[in-house]
Amino acid sequence: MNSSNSPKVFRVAVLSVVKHDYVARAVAAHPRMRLAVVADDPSEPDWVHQRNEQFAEEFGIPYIRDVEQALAEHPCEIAVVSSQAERHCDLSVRAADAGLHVIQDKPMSTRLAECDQVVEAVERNNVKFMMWNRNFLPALNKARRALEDGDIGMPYAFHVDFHFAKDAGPPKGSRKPGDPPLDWLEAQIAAHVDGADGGVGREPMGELKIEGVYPLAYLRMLAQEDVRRVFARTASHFHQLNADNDVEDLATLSLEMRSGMVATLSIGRIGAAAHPEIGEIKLHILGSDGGLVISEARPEVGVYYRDQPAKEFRHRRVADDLNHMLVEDFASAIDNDGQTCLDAKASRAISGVVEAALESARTGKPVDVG
Amino acid sequence: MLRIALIGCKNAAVDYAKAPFRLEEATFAAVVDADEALAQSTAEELAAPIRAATFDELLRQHADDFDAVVVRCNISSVESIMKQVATSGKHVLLQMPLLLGMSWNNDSIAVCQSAGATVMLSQPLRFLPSIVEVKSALESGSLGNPGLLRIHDWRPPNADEEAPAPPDEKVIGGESVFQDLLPDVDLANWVFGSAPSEIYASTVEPEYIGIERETAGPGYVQIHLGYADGGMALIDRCVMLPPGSDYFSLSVFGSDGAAYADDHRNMHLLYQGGRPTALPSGRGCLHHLAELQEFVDAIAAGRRPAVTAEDGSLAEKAVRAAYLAWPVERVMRMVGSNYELV
Repeated sequence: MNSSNSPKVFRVAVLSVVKHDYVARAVAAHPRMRLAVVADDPSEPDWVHQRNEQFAEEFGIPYIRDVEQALAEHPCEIAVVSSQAERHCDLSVRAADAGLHVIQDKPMSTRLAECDQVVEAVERNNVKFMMWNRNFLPALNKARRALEDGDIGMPYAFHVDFHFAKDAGPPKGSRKPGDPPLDWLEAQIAAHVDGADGGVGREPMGELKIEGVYPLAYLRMLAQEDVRRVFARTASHFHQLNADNDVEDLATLSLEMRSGMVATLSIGRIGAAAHPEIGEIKLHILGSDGGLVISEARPEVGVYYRDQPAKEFRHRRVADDLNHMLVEDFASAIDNDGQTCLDAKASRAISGVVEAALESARTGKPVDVG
Repeated sequence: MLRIALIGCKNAAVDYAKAPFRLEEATFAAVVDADEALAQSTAEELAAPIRAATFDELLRQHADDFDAVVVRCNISSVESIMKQVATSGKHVLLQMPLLLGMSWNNDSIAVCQSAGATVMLSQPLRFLPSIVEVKSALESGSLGNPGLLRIHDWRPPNADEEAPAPPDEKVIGGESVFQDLLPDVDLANWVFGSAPSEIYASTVEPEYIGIERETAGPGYVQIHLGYADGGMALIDRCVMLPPGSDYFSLSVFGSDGAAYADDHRNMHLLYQGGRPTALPSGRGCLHHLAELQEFVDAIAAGRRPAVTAEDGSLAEKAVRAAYLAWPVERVMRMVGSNYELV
């Protein structure tokens, strides 16, 4: 808080907005945040600059093709990083080194070692870091409260079903003999139009790496425990793009926590045909006094009408204050020198689980989480 | 008309309610139970003319009055009954969980089969209307190739359940939560059309959460199964819910679609002040009758029944492998026709 007791308004630099501009938009919508500049590195390809420019134009702020120049000319307190995945850590470290607090899009990185660099940079510069997440969805708030209130006693088993009903291009088996494999980056760029470009970047990523932070953050928040061991299986089951690039679109994890609690995660991009809504996303939690079944999509409203576009969601989430609560949490951490709901260390721990799971899937053996 | 003898009457009148009117080409000829009152009421409900206190008594006095037996008795009595069934040449419908780790059952089953009798394992889950619908969607090809099966199966402890006495250390005696996994693992095998090639299991001991159980061993297990072509299944089985309703959820994800047979989708709400109470739709008892009809039809047609002893054996092997793998926190992988630690 500033001396006049009115909340401080933070100036925000958007460091690349090529993927999910919903992070930058969510930040911009908070009354304490003001977008000041969009910036990116000059060496980035044209499509990156075009997206950045378009976003900057929409918000009436400058776009500068030089990150350091932008930060020097437009002093900011916060950076929002939503670049290609393999650039996340680099931009976050540079922002932290410039003294900015960082809100970063998922995944933390494509490499675990880079996550350590972010943790180190955040600590060295004494800035806040938050990985964008869904922990404040209404259903998650409900689950957390139920556990805090002791509704099911002492929890001992957590299960997250995280199946999202989106396609990733043509189905597996659709490539004709002689056709070249699908190019990852080209496909991701093309998928931007309908928001199915979560894995945008040069390096192909499976769904566990792209989306795993969400359910694993649920688990971390609800269990308040670190995962010590993981056994996993993965498969490219649905989409030709994943099969061609040797990354999974379906994964199952058995997780064991340090205190003796256990968990499982089932995650996959199951294809648009597999569910009438966004997908079956549920939590099943067992405790000493009972069980809890939570549907992540609730509350929702059904809307159906003649000539409804096929891709329009029939069931729409309502009363969702996730974005505001996340940004509020971040601002509060800055105000009070507290922790964010998913800070750099927690994000790194989740990346460690993902890495261990992928190693387990490769080796066919359980892997201790480093 | 097939004449059936029911061995063990507990819950039978409910499970087979209206069977005398709905079961085709078969009748209940006899019921057997040491509890005379239960035997009498069940005999009346099922319109069975003969009652006996033991299977031995039934065989001595009425061996020619029935063609097939449905074995639903306590685990401790099943060994002697199965030996008698085997030598009698009667067709048999046998509860699947009784099979786990009890090699004498396999011997008896082999004798039955060599005598030309039909042996079917009872697996009511396969006959649940919801599961039948899911399997039908799979078999029609509309879901494509199955890639993932997810089962949450939570139940309260069954205080009346008699724990099996382990004949030797290799038998999973007393570890009822593993034994209870058999039907779920059979469902997974059924969905993928084979036995799992890879198995990993984790458990939670009741003591961890301060629950006392009469039966030794874990009250919760989660099992991770790998199948050919990248297929996978996750099953969590709990027998530590507080007394009351159970919960079952099965989802199958195929390459072209998915199916959800989920209790969560089938709840009603009751408002009586405070928080509303969920009222499960219930599963009815049609599946028990459907299973019995399948047994009858298989005998009449001289064909393999829907659930064979081999199915039970595959599920048993997998569950046994899980049981042996979890204490050492390692994976069991199928090598040849057996599982080995890796």
